[in-house]
Amino acid sequence: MIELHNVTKTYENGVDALLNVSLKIEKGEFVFIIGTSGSGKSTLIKLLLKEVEPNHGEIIVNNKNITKLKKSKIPYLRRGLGVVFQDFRLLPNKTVYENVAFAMQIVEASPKEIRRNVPMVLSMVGLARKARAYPNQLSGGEQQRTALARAIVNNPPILLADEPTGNLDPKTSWEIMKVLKDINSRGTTVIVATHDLDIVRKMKRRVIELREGIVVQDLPKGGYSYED
Amino acid sequence: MKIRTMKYFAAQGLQGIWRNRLMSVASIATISSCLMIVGIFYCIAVNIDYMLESLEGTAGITVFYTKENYTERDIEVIREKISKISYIKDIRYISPAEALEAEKKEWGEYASLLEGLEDDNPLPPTFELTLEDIRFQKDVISELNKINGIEIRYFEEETKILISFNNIIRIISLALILILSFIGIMLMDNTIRLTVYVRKTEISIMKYIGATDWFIRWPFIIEGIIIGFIGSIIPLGIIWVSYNFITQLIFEKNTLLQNILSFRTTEEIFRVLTPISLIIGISIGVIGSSISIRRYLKV
Repeated sequence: MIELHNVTKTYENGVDALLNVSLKIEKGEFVFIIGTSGSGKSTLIKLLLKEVEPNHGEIIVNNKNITKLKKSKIPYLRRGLGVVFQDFRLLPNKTVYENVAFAMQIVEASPKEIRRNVPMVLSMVGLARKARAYPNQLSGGEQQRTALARAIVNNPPILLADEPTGNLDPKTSWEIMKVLKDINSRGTTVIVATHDLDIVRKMKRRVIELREGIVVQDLPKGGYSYED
Repeated sequence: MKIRTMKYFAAQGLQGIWRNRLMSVASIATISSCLMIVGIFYCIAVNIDYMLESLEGTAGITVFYTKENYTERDIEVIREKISKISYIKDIRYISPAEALEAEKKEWGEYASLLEGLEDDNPLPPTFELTLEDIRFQKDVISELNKINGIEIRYFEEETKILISFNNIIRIISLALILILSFIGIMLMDNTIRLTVYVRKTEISIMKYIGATDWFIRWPFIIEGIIIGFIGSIIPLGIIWVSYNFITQLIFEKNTLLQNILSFRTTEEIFRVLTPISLIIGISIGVIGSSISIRRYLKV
């Protein structure tokens, strides 16, 4: 599903964000990417989204080599990658329903599909009753669930979450994790970049740890413990 | 592209105009004033051309043969010399007898006063020349002056004034159009930049969800098209009303001017002016927004 072969990314200011990283994530996996800020987590996500270009190495996403991708093809790559961020990034002047429907509009889905899919994903993330609310009327957890609904409404095979619980309290964070687990159990590959080790430990999933741009640990499901 | 997507683009475009109404109005006003000048100068230039055409048709140059005691042969020689000059479309010979007949007709009831002149006709043989283009009048005159025994009469001052006036009008209007187009594009660029700024979050979200670059660009281009369109129909409307008004006024109130001035109809003017204005107006709008998209959208 996702493969990185000897990927190196050095920013223009000379900072090595990733150094010779190789990893492979299979279809249907749930993977945590952990590490302190500056460890290269965000760069990894940006590389997958083609926000930044690698200096060396090869990247394969959804069985496609995206190392050298034409700029005009990037939107189609991103349609296969749902993404949520720490700061939710919802449109403030649109309701929950409209925010989710918007993701379908821009891939030119039919109104019929929109009417069918949006309520479905909203009930999946537990927001069916908040469909008409605006983002500023929602709690942080609800906003992130809206963002999750938007990310998965077009059925992407992969979901990327960059610090999805970074702005949330532990209880709400856990709710978000449950939604992510649900999404994963339906076959979507889920990749979560986080520094919330408490959650990582409790979830007992595969963990890839980055430190200064290098993969220092890649532990299979349940192998992660606090002592490291 | 699907119809509902186009509707979405149109709605976004209109929203952009409304959100930055002040800048939109400024852009529309600039485009309008640019096209107002285009329109006014077009009307003037077209009518001067029209009047020049009428002059070419009627007047041209009249050549008199001034030598006394001439033969048919002399007339033929002159005609040949004239016909060798370029830019002359037509040569019409009027013999003294024909000229006298014409005079008699003009005199009407006093024609009897001209009786008896047939035998000793004082009128000279005449050539009436029609030119291909009145702009060549000077060249033809200088060629005619080389021929001995003739006298030339033509509307020199009138044509000169009309031609130079027309040239001045063209230069001024071209300069003004260029300057105002430039200002229009700059203002358009600014207007769109504000829309881009307001929609920054939305655009970045759209990019993450996988919107194509053109999907992101279209609303801005449509904003440019709408502003350009409004900017062109306003001056068209104003010119339509005032052109009708002015020509009517001259025709109805001033019979003296009517004889000298001739005007194209409003329909004739707008058949050309409407597409010109729309093309210029919409181009300014679209070029302005394209520059802005390139600079600030970074899609």
